[in-house]
Amino acid sequence: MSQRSRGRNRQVSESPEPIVVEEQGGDNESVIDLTCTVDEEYVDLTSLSQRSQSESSGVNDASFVILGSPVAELPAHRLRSGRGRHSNEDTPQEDTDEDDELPPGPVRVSQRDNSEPAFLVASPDATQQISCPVCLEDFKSIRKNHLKLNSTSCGHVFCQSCIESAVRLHRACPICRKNLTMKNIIVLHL
Amino acid sequence: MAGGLPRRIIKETQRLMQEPVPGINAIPDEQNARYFHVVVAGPEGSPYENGVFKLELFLPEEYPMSAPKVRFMTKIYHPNIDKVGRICLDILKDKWSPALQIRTVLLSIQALLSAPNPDDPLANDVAEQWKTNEAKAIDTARQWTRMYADSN
Repeated sequence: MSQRSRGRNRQVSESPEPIVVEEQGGDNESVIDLTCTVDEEYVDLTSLSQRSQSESSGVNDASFVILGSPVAELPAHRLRSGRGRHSNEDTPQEDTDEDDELPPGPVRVSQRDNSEPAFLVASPDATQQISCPVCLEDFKSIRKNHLKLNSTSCGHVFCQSCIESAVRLHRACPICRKNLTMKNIIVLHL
Repeated sequence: MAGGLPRRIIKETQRLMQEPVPGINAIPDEQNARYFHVVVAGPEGSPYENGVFKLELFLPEEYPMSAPKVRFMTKIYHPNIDKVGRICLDILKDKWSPALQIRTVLLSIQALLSAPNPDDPLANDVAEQWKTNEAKAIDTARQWTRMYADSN
């Protein structure tokens, strides 16, 4: 009996497994790209002239007004993937960060800043008051060391090198201890 | 830069000097800037009141990615501090976070003196006494404070 049932189990489990694994495995990114046919949107972002389109179409436009000049520096492929996934559902995206969030799209960062403390980007004076709670360096020194500020998915800000070490060693946010991986870290282009 | 003192330690030391924590005194050793001579005043309302407790604090090479090493030099009767002064405190072990500082660690130790936790003991005999006869344990703690932590 037991042999038979084992055999059955094996048969049953073997056939769907490879399929499931294949589906989940390497296809995440491509699935995302394929399903997000948002060409228009990312074109909107990089070109000044079409900005009005994106403003009328989505919630995300405000961030762009503020990002302003840095837009030109942003690599287009990052914009595409970041933007594509965010165009329709901004808020839920932030909550499901841990799942498979890969592209740390600059767009999303600015959205986040925008939705709450817009002054982060809007006023250059405010950035001077930010310091990394780990190395205690202020924004100016962090920039001098050619580092960027990073934000965690839980919304805490550190310099790049400190949060990388902390996540590697403790896999948790130094402030709130929420579990983190490098996928939950977003570069802030301030 | 390998042997140099990290800027964070310099900053922390400066701030400790400029804005000292009430009831806590931490002074870096003249020979070793990673080693601090610490004095903590026994908190008011605790059996350690009026006592002055000496501790040593050492910042390991990996600090702040790993916790400072802290030890009581003054004998103390406390369920979470053993005979040789080792401290049972989560933030010094698995709950360490690089956003914590010398200042916050010492404040936590001061708070531990106000709130002994016999359910997570390091000194088993003391914890046992604390649970079976708290009044007597507190009395012993007072005695030890007078005997070993007298400020004079």
